[in-house]
Amino acid sequence: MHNIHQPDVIFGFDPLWFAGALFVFTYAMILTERLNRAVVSLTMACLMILGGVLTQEAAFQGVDFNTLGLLTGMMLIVGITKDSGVFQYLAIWSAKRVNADPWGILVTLVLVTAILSALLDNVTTVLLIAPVTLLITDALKVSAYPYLFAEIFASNIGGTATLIGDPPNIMIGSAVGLSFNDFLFNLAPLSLIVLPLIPIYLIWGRKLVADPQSRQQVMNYREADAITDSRLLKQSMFVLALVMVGFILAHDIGQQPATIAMFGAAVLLILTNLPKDPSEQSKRVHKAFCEVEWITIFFFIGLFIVVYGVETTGLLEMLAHQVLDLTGGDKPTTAIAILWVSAVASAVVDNIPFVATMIPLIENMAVTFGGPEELAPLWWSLALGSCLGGNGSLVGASANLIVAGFAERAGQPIRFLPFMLMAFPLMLMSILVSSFYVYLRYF
Amino acid sequence: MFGVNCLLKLVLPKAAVMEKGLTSLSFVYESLGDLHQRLKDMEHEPISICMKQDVEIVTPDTPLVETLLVLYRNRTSIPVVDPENNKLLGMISYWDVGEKILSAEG
Repeated sequence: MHNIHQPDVIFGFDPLWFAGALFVFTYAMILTERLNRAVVSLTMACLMILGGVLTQEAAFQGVDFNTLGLLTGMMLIVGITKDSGVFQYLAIWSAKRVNADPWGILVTLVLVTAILSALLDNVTTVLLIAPVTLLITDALKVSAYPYLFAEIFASNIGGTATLIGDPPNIMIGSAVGLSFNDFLFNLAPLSLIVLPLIPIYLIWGRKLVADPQSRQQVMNYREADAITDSRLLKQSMFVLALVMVGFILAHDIGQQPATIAMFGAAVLLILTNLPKDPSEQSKRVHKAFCEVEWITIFFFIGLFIVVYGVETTGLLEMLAHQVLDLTGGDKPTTAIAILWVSAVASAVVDNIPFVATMIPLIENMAVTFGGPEELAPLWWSLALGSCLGGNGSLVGASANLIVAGFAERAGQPIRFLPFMLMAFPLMLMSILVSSFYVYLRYF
Repeated sequence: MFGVNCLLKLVLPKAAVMEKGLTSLSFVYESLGDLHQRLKDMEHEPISICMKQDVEIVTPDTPLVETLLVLYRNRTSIPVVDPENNKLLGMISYWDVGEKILSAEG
């Protein structure tokens, strides 16, 4: 699909240079954060078309609607489900299981965050868990910092475990045709190995003690009362279970994850709206659709087009050859290099544009390694590096910034540098473990 | 602006009154003593931590019906401010306008 016809670029510019310049400019604009990232990516996507690199038709071919459908469907389902109060229930329940012991709560909240992040997207998870965490740490009169720090890591590590856990995985799975089960079998074990690193790391030099009175205050919470709508709870748990089974079976029944997620969202919308009158229905459906993070969705659309534009000019193919020259065309070396470069890059820039660029780049290596099916270790390296790399700094993942926002509002801000000084080494440790994992398992 | 709801804000857990915070506290059970303690803990905090800064205002020239609409939307008294120098001229409440309407003759 590359270089089939030479595009007719505006002012007779060289397509490779024109598309490359737009691409670099897109990255630079996203990095400086002067303009909202969705606005940046949409503008650049339009310039890619107006400039003549792509036709509108070609641009749409570059958009991965499976990724968009899966994201939108899951956002709808979680947006409706959260009104039942089930996530608060889980957090309070887990805190009480360890008798409101500050260390115990740290561990259980890490677990809850990781599990939820594996099944839902990370941003949603931390949006739901961080406020409960602040309520609990406030009651215990302990610093919220170690808890929020641990939750950032737990959300990124948990998200690594599944196809739907983190946008890089969704994009890789969708582009390469890897199934939900493939991700579960290949990445979940590594998540389980890396997760205990967080509490172990945080034990150093941090005392977390709460007086019995404060602990009693947390024990007095009645988690059952957090469920504000038990009918909605049953409906949404039913649909979530259905969707998970759907994801597991999707590959075998020849369906794509986006269809499963969208169908789940549609069923949940039917269940929650059927008995209501039309005007009430429009209000509720409108509210459900408002829960979709349209900024993320449109960021994706624009980015897919920009990257596709660059890809059609053959620039990424050239880059792929450069990378292979550097690694000597050796597969283990290439895999480990992808892992480390992805991790460091994802700590510095948003991992979504990085992965969007890396996917076609790695696809171009198929010839060297003897076919697309030989690329599996490289995909797992990319997934691990870009998901876990998000832990390296506050800007590494959207969830990190959401947690930092809560910390700021609670008067216990998480600052960029102090966070990085603690988080970057821990991130590198997780990548080191991943390197061994990738090497031992695939080579 | 400081009003009685600012005090309420001090008594509630921070996690609930912050932006994007908890939407429900249905599972939290605290005694009056706990609430009293929380308020007491705030004793030495400056007033600025709970005062409201983004308040709607009216000016002496704001038409009556518009003023009523602002009052209706805010459900509280509204400051009347001189647009020239941003000086507070006074406060206007539902009752002020209500009395005026009632005492007016059709």
